[in-house]
Amino acid sequence: MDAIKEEDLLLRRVQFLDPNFIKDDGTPSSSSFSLKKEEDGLMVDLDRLTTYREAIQDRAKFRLFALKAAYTTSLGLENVHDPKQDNPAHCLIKGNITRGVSRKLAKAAKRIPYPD
Amino acid sequence: MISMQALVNEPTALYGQSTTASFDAEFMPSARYSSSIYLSNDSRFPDHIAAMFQKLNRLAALPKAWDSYRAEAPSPVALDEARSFIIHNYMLDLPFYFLAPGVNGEVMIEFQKGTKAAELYFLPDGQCELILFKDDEVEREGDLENNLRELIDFFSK
Repeated sequence: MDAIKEEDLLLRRVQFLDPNFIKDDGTPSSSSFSLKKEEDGLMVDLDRLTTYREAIQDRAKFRLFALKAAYTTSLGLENVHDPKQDNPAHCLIKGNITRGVSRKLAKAAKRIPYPD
Repeated sequence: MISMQALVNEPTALYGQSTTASFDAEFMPSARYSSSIYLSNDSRFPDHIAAMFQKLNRLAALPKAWDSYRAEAPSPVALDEARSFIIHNYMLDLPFYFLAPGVNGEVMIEFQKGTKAAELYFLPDGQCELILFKDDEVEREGDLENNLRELIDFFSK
């Protein structure tokens, strides 16, 4: 497992087509950064261990948004590298991800200009 | 879009015939609150409201794991509750802004005006969660039934 550094970027997919869950101001919906009941962390990919092409999975359907690792820790969350056999970049953002925190994460996420 | 006229502090009962006039007060939360700022009625939905209905229809077709992260498909109950809320309350002077599904089958309607925002979640069990935000900080949390008045006031101040 890699230690996640403050300067690392964490990538999350957000659906942008049919229907679009990215708002007119360019920020994703808060619900795109919320946790399923049984999940123990928000799934993201560590930018430096993947490529945008791999991380986006389906570029016809998704766009990538990046969170700075330093930002998630500033909210009291913990970034944990959780590599999977088919995705060595897989990480979890763990902690108390309330509706309010989800909104902050969505607002702080920066769109990755890939593929356009 | 046909222009709309704001009617201030007019009880719903004085509001006259509208597209929702046939709904009982039981199913029309706005009718239970006797004063507020209402927009004048029209024979059709405003464009942004019509777009929300179209989006709700598309949400109904989303499969499980639509987000690639194992999200639940939007719940029919949540979709119906969201649709019902919009039908019964679109005339209120609320800044309807965005609509999206949640990962647990819920449906979220977002309101936004300047630095104020609200997220209204319709849950699969028929319950609602309302969160009011100022500068993206939580100002208030509660359910819809007890906080519709606060939701309206929040954006009108």
